[in-house]
Formats: sequence, C-alpha cells, structure tokens
Amino acid sequence: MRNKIIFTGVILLVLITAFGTALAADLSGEEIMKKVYNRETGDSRTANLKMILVNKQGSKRIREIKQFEKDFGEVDKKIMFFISPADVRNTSFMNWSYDSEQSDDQWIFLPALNKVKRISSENKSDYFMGSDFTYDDLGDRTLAEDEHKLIGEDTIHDKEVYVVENIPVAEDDLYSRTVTYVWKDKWIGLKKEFYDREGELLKVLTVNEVKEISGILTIVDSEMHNLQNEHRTILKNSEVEYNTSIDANLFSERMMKRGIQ
Amino acid sequence: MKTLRTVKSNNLILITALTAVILLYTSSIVGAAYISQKITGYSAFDLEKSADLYSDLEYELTFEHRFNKGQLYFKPKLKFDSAKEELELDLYEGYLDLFFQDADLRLGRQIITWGKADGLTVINLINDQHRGIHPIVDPDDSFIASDALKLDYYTAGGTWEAIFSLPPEASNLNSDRSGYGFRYSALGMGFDYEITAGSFPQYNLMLDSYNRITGNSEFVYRDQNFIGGSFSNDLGSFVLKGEGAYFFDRDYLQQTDQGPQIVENDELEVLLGIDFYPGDYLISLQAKEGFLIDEPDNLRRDKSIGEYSLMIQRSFWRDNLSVENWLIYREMPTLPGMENTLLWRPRLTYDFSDRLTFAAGVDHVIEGSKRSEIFYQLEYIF
Repeated sequence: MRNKIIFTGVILLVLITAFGTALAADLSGEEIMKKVYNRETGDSRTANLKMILVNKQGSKRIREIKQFEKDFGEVDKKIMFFISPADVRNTSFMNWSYDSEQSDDQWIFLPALNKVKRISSENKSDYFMGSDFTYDDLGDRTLAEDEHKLIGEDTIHDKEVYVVENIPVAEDDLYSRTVTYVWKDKWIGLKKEFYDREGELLKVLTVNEVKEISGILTIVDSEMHNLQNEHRTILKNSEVEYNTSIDANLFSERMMKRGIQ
Repeated sequence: MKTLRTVKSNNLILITALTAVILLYTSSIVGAAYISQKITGYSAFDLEKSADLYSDLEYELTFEHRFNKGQLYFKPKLKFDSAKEELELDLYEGYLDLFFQDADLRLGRQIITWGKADGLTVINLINDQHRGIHPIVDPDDSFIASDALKLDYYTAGGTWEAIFSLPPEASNLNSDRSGYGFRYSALGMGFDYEITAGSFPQYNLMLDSYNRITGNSEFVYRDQNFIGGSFSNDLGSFVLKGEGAYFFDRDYLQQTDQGPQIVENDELEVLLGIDFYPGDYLISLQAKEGFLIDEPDNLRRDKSIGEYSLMIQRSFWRDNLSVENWLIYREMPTLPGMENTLLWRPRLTYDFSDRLTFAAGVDHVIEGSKRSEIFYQLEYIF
C-alpha cells in the first residue's frame, strides 16, 4: 500500500512537472512579450538617471536626469528634468501617453527661450540626448508594434531565458528586427539585440544589474553598445522609488518651467 | 580700455537683491547653490568688405540657489566691447521666486515669453528687443529682460498669469508708463492655447522715422494695447501653431495737407505656422500678416506689413553638430528708413565636449541695403 502511494506520488510529480514544462513550452512569443509588457511596474515611479556616453576613443560625456512617471488610468504621464551638463540644465521634457489610439503629447521647455514648446510625437525613433537609446528603447514601445515569435531558449548569467524575435509591423521602422532574451518566470528582458534595416546587428543592450525594489524587479544598470560605430551608453538608475504619492500637478507647464530642486 | 560702465539698476532690482539677502541669511535654507560660469568670444565681419566689424569677450555667471519655498537666480554679465573699448557690467537676469501652494511669484529682472511662434512676434510683447544688433546665434536671443513682477496662479485646467513691468530702460519713459498684462494658458490632449491681454510700451520704428523726418523729439515708445491668443496643435508629424492679436488705438503716420501726423487706428495681426518633422529634420514655416481696421486714407503702417520665415534644422553626430538655415522676408511700408528685406541666416553649432561650443553663421542680406555679416563664437562653460 505504501509503495502504491509513493508510486502514485512520483507519477503525479512527473505529470505535474511535465505538464508545467509543456505549459511553459506552449507559451507563444506573443504571450511571453505580453507578460513582459504587462509586468508589474507600479502606478508611479521616481528615479535618477545617469547616462554615460562613451565614444570609440573612450572619452565620456555624462548626462544626469531626474525622472517622474505616473499612471493615471487612461493616460501615463512622464516628466524629465535635466540636471547636467550645464548647457542643458533646467531643460525639461514631458510626455503624456494614452491607452487609446490618441497620439502622445510631448513638450519641451528650453530655458534659453523661456518657452514650453509642443513637439511632434512622431519622433520615437530619434536618439535620446545623443545616447544609443531611442525613445522607443527607453520604454515608449507597445506590444502591438511588433510581431513576436519564440525562437529558442538560452541561459544568461545562469538565468534561463526565452529568446523571442520581434519584427516591427511598420515597414519604415528603425530596425528590421530585434531579439529579446526574457528571464523565465520573471518576465523581464536581460538582453536585447537590434538589427538595422539591412539585417545587420546594430546594437546590443545588456542588463548588468537587476534589483528588487518595493517588490518590483528593476533594471538599475544596463549598457547599450552600438557595434557599428563602437559607441556605448551606460544607463544607471538610482534612488528608484515606486508607488510614492507623486502630485498630479508635477506633470504641468508650471513644473516644466520651475524645474526640480 | 576706456571705462567701466555699469548698466543702470533700478529700485526693483535693489529690492530683489535685498530681499534675497535677508532670506538667505535669516531663514532655514534647504538645498544647494548651483554656480556655472561661461566665457564667450564673439567676432563679426563685414562679408562684402572682408573687414572686422565687431568683437567682444563676455564672462557670464549663473547663480541659482533653491530653498524650501523659492529660488534666487542671478545672471550677471561682464562684457568687453572692442568697438567702444568699454567694459560693461550688466545684470542680464536676476530675480527671486517665491513658491506657494497654488501660486508662484517672480520679482526682478526677467524674460517673459508669450506665444508659440519662433523668431516672429505677435503677442510676445513684454520684453523690449535689441535693434541694430549684430548676428545672433538664436533669434530669441534678441530679447532684453524686463524689471517685472509676475504672479502665476494654477488651477486644475491651466495657469492664470498677471504681469506688471517697468518701461524698457532704453525708453526713458517714466514708471507711470509701466506695462501690465494677463494671460491664461493651458496644455491639453493634442491642443494647447493661450488667451492674453495687455498694454506694454514698445519701440515703434515708424515713430522713430517720423521723428527723424520732422525733427520731433517725441517718444519712440508707445503703448501696445491688445487682446490676443495663441495655439499649437499636434497633427502627427506636424505641429500647427498660430497667434493673433487685436491692437487698439495703435499709433500710425497719416499724410495730411499739413504734413505727416500721428493718428490712432486699430489693427489685427495674425500668424500661422507649421513645424514638420520628416526623419531627422525639422522644417518650420511661419507667416505673419497685419490688417488695418477701417483704414483711413493715406495711413501708413508702422512695423512690417508681413513677415515670413522658413527654417530647416538638422542635428548630426549625436546632436553635437546642429545646422540651421533660416530664410526671413520682411515686407515694410514705404517710409524713409524702411525697406523690404530678404535675409538668409544659416547657423552651425558644434558642441566639442559639453563645455566647449563653437558657433558660426552668416546674416546674408539678399534683398535690402543692410550689411551682410559673418560671425563666429566660441563658448566655454565651467
């Protein structure tokens, strides 16, 4: 009788494991990326960004930004304050992104002109502040902008990952395809390859450090390496806070002009 | 070097400075001061005669100190003008900000910008502008800060703004000819707008011409009383923008049997522009027109009849190199000293290292009798 119970248990365990594996294996590229896009990232986020731009000769330029984001339900609002270098200090950038088909709203405040200026939201493939990141790369992209296909599995720093190919729906996209390495069960990208329109490998994004902050997995150190011109951008996030009570009035013309302490 | 000349400061600046000092040393201040310094070398040459025209060396200090409920901001400039062989000390901007729950107050010398247009102005009338200036790096650099008090009150929908400003220094007007204005502005989904009204003394080119013709010593500054507004609208790759203002009792020159006379008339000014973002380019097109209301006979407009600008901009090498091409046409009334002008204004800016920036450009007069000039500028921030 005891042997029968052990045998049944082993069979059940094998079945559960097999079923579980089959479940995971059955996930499509679309479903994996959906989990990545829908991963819990909090209702609001505050962070200090430090971008280190390193050129082929190894010389560096550093940009420091203070960033606030808040989800207001149908609209996500983001505001960035440029702290350094001196020639861009007090510049601010604000983006309102809508869940509906409505295009994003974007404004820039240029202290030299003392004016908040509306800019076109159709510039998502522009490089952000001379870095190797486009606005899309920094999180403005949506699931529906690519077709997703699971092309394999791999291991990065002892972490098991899904390898998903993302092919842009729009023919005029900056990239012909990207390949995302998604950490299994955590649903966070640990590496991403970007291929140019000719299909050549253009950039590789490597995540150097992930931290759990307020229960949310957060990339705190990453590097984008442009292999075609040997330029790199190291992006460091510090003082990251989630779900803090950010005042809705922060995302306003007033704060763009006033700046942040 | 002949002299050290300090540009006159008035009471408002003194009050600001004293208040700031009291605040700094008597209150518990949180936050740190930020100081940056800039040295700029600038030279302009006559393009046709290949002769040196002008050069200066400028030192600029920016001081920012933020505390719990406000900010102190000073930007003095010390300039050596080679033409005058003078050292000029000028407080370019200097003000005290006080932040309240739903309002901000700014007191001191400041630049206040209204409107959505770039380079051309309809409702951006608060600050006086340089005239006869040598080529500038950005058209908006031509504004001169005003000594003013600005109060902003914030509601859920937008911002109410009230301004009281002293007359421009160059005007020699008494303080009872101060300017005042009100604005409501809102940013929204796909659409921003401003509604404005005010009365600000402004330099009047026509009055200047009239005085030169008649030998009069009338003021060349006159109040601009107006109501107006502006908008900008996101249309995907385009941003449509516009400004308009109705001016009451504006001064005009009227030719009569007794000779030229100053009369008052109403005018409507309208500006429409579009910013287009094809790929890495920004193309900006603007047109401004003025319409006289119930135009009497022999009335001559002041300012321009129409102004049109085309700007094409592109950045290269990770935004380190920026190239701008401006084409500006001004249609002027037929008065002595006024003529139509077509100006080609290319600009190039190269940022060497976040500290060192080189800029160069040309103000090439294609039509009109003004002198074509070329300039270069080197800027070091530390």
